[in-house]
Formats: sequence, structure tokens, C-alpha cells
Amino acid sequence: MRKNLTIYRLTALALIAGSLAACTAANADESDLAPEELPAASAFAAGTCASTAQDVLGLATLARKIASAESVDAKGRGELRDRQARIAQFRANAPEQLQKPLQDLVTSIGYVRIRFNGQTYDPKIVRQMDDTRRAYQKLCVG
Amino acid sequence: MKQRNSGIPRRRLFVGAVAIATAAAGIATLAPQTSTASSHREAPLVAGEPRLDNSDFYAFVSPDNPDTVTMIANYIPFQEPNGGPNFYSFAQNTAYDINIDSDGDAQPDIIYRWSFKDNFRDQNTFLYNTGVVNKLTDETLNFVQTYNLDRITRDGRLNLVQNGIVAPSRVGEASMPNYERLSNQAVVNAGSGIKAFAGQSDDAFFADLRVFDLLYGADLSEVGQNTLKGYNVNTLALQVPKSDFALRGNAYRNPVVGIWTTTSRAGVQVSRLGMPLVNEVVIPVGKKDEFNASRPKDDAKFLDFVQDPEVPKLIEKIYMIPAPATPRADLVEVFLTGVCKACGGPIAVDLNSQLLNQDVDRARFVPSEQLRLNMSIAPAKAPNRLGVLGGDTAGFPNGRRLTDDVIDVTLQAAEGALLAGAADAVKGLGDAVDANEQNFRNHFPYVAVSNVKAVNES
Repeated sequence: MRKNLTIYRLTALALIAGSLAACTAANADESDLAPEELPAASAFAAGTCASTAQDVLGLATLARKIASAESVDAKGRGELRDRQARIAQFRANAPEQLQKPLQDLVTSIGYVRIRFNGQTYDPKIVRQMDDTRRAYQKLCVG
Repeated sequence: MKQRNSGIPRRRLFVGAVAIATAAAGIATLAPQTSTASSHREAPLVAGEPRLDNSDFYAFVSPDNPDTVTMIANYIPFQEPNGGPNFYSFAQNTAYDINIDSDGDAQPDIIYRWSFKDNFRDQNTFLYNTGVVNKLTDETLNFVQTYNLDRITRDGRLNLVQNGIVAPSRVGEASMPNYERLSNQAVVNAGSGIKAFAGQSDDAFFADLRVFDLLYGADLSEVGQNTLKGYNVNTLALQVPKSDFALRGNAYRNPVVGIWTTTSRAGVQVSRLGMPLVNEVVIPVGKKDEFNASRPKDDAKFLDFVQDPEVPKLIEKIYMIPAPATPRADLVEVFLTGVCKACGGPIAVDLNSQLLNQDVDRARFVPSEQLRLNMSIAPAKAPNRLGVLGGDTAGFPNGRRLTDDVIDVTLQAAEGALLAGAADAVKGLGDAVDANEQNFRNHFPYVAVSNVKAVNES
């Protein structure tokens, strides 16, 4: 009896935890980010563009997940931080026409991170990041 | 412990006082001596002297009495409500000053000074009160602190309150069953529209102080908890008609005043506070004691710290958000000159510089750190916690109200919210603590009644 109760409790907890996790990244389909067909990484021009392609595309996918969420879990925050750090590495040696768009992208990711971490998240900040990402991507894919 | 209050016209009293006071007792002597000695525990020396530690200062046009200005200064931060048996009192032999600069020369034109005296009814008991206390004058209140309040100008000293009674520390429900009534009894009508209060209150400051844990846990993740919740402070509050300290007594022509507090013991200034957070996060640790001992007229030496603040650099390091370009003329305007079109900064708005006073001598204007208030701006019916950044010019940095969220405003300003072209994202930065838990009183002294529950139970 006690064992059954324990199993019941664990199952309930797992269901609740599962629901909460789903909520965190919920509403992906309700995002008001404009629809977009993402290019393949191989479509990015050689050099800085190609070097940043995986992270830029990953950022696009993440933005759709978090655009309507009220919070982002540690994994999501970590992904934002890591993608920002990798993209930032290419700022110094980027061709001149990419430098500002790249910096704008890094900065816009920073704003999303600080607003999520500071519990002052506003969906429009993710939209702005996504707009910045699209602008950079357009320069890279043409 | 008779509370003085003048049936006598204040001007006549003033003339009499001038005859007694010597010139040496005027502003010049009373100005603090420079010494390397003192907002919440913000500098090394004053952290060890909580009774002298002015943790917060507020100044605003009184919402229920808009011909007056209310100034509130808090001391002895982090008071655990049950911290007896001696609880919390102001220091004796100490000058608690509120300084007013109406002409912008960075020197006080008027000083309002409190000085305190300890009184015990019975020293043969360990008790702060020996029975239920319903009135400030009850014999059961064993420890009674009294104060004199003076108004000091270059012409001399005018006593406003003699032997005023300090509202005691809130010992507990059994001892003080109606503490709010007791606290309200400590409001003194000092004549000519002046009201004074001294006593314990809830700390009105709301913030997540884990800002000091490497900037909110090194990534702003440690936010949303009001660290000050449940703690008390000792409050000095003063309500004064605008004309009492406007330049030439004319608040219509000269509506802007600069205000700061100082605490001095034996003539040595150990605490100074005008704008919030300056000595906490603008001045580096090696200069904090010096700042606390300094005078506004000498503030040029702190200019670099205002022009090149540390917080945006920390944020850049963590979040890769570029710090606004330096030198920061916008922050100079906010902290040192007040905001006005003629102030030379990028914020082209006439808000709260003494340079806006019609009778000011511009040649004598000295940039200095003060809390500046344009008294001509009427109190907002629905105050915005972000003050001017939220479109509410009756709030911080035009003075400071109890409800103003100075942490969020300062963080946003540091990140360039006042600069043209500031990113929208900057306008939402903050510590996720947006208000005090306790409601403020809707009448003088406005601060909420002190807490009685132990902090670890609240």
C-alpha cells in the first residue's frame, strides 16, 4: 500500500514536472515571429558567415521557442549565453560590412539574456533579437 | 519634555535667536570638517557606526499638502525588530543635518539640525518599558529620547522644536498595542506650517541587495527578493513650506532646491547623502569614506567616477552589451548639475537645476552632488515608480518619493536610458523588486509603521 502510494506520488510529480517544463518552452507555435524558412548552413557565404551559421540558425530556432514564454529554463539561458559567446568571437576579424550587424546581434542577445535573468522579460526583446539575426543572416545568405 | 511650539511668530523668534547666536555658530563653523571618516553600510567606516549611517534620503512635494516639501532621512539600517533590550536610538553629541542649497553654489543656505538626548526614568531595571505604553508621555516608557530641532542660516540659529519626543522602538504587541497611534503622536507641529517627526519606521527602501554578489549572482539571476523586507530604520522627517527654503523666499521665481544630509560627531562629518546609490555604486571603495566626509563644493574630485561609471562595464563584461560612450555627460547632468537645457548636457529638458531659478547668480553655480527638487511640479495623482523615466516628472531624479524605484531608474540611466537612441531593452532593466511590501501612511511622516515580527519569522 505504502509502495503504491509512493509510486502514485512519484508519477504525479513527474506529470507536474513534465507540464511545467512544457510550459517553459510553451507556445512555440503561438510566437508572433514572422514565418521563415531557414536556409541550410551550407548556404552561408564562406568566412565569418559560414563560421557563425550554426549558431545563427540555432538562435532562430531558440527564438521561436522562447518568444512567447514567460521564462526560460537554465538550459535555454545557457544556450543563449553560449551561442552569443561563439558569435562574438568572430567580431574582430569580420569583414567591415559584417562588423556592425554582428555587433548588433551580439548586443541584442545580451539584452534578451539580461531581461530573462532579471525577470523583466518582454517578448518584444526577442522579436528585436530575431530581427537583428535576420538582418545579419540576409547579408550572409543573400 | 515639553514640545515647544510657537505661538510666537517665527520671524520674531528668529531675530531674537540671531542676537544670541554668534556668527561662529553660523554656517561657516557648522560646515563639516574634512576627515576621512562615513546609504546602507555603504562605506567602511560608517558601516561600523550605524547610528550615524544615513541609509536613504527622500524629498518630495507633499502629496496632501502641496504648498510644502517633505524631507525624510533614515538611519541605523537593518534593525531587527526584536533587537532589545536597548533597541535603537539616535546618537547623542551628533548633528543630524538636512542641508538646503537654493542658489546652486554647492554650500548650504539653510541647515535643519536635530540633536538628541537620552533620558531614563528608572535605571534600576533592564526594561526599555516597564508596562504598557499608550502615550509617548506614559511613565511606563522607561527610555525616552528627546531632541531639539534648529534652523540654521548665515544669520544665526532658530529653534523650531525643543524637547521633542522620539517615537520609541516598537518593542512588541504586549508593550505597545497601538504602535501606529504612538508613532503619530511623535509628529510635532512646529508652527508656521512646519512639522517634524523622529522615530522608528519600516525601511522604505526596496531592493535586492544581492547586487553586491558579483552583480546579482554574476548574471543578474539573483533578483526579485526585497532584502530590506521586515527591517526597521530610524527616521527623521520634516515638512516645510516651500517658501521657507526657496531662494529669496520665492518658490514661484525660484522653485529649485538642492538637498543633502550630513551626520557629524564632534564636528567631524561621517555621513553624507543626496542622490541615492552614489556612494554605494558610483564611488569606489577607496574613496567612500572620503566622500562621506566631503562637501559638495569639492565634488570636482569625484567627477571621473560619475563620467566613467563601473556598472555599465560590469554589464558589458557579463552580457556583452556595450557600455555607453564616456565621458557620460548625461550622468553629470543627473547627478551634478541637475537637468536643464542650459546645463550643458545631452538631456535638453528643463527639470531640476538651480540654474532654472530666476534669481540665481549663474557665475556662482558649482556642479555638485545633491538631490535636486523642482518644487513647482505638482505631486502626481498616480506616481510612476520609474519617475521621470516613466514620464512622471514629479518623481526621481526630480527629488525622490518613497515609492520611486531608484534601483531600476539608476540601472537604466547607467545603461544610457536618458541618451538619444537608447535601446528599448534598456527601459526594462531592474532588480524585479518594484515596491515596498508595507503601505506607506497617507499623511506625514508618510513612512510605514515599523515592523514588529522578527525578520526570520516574517
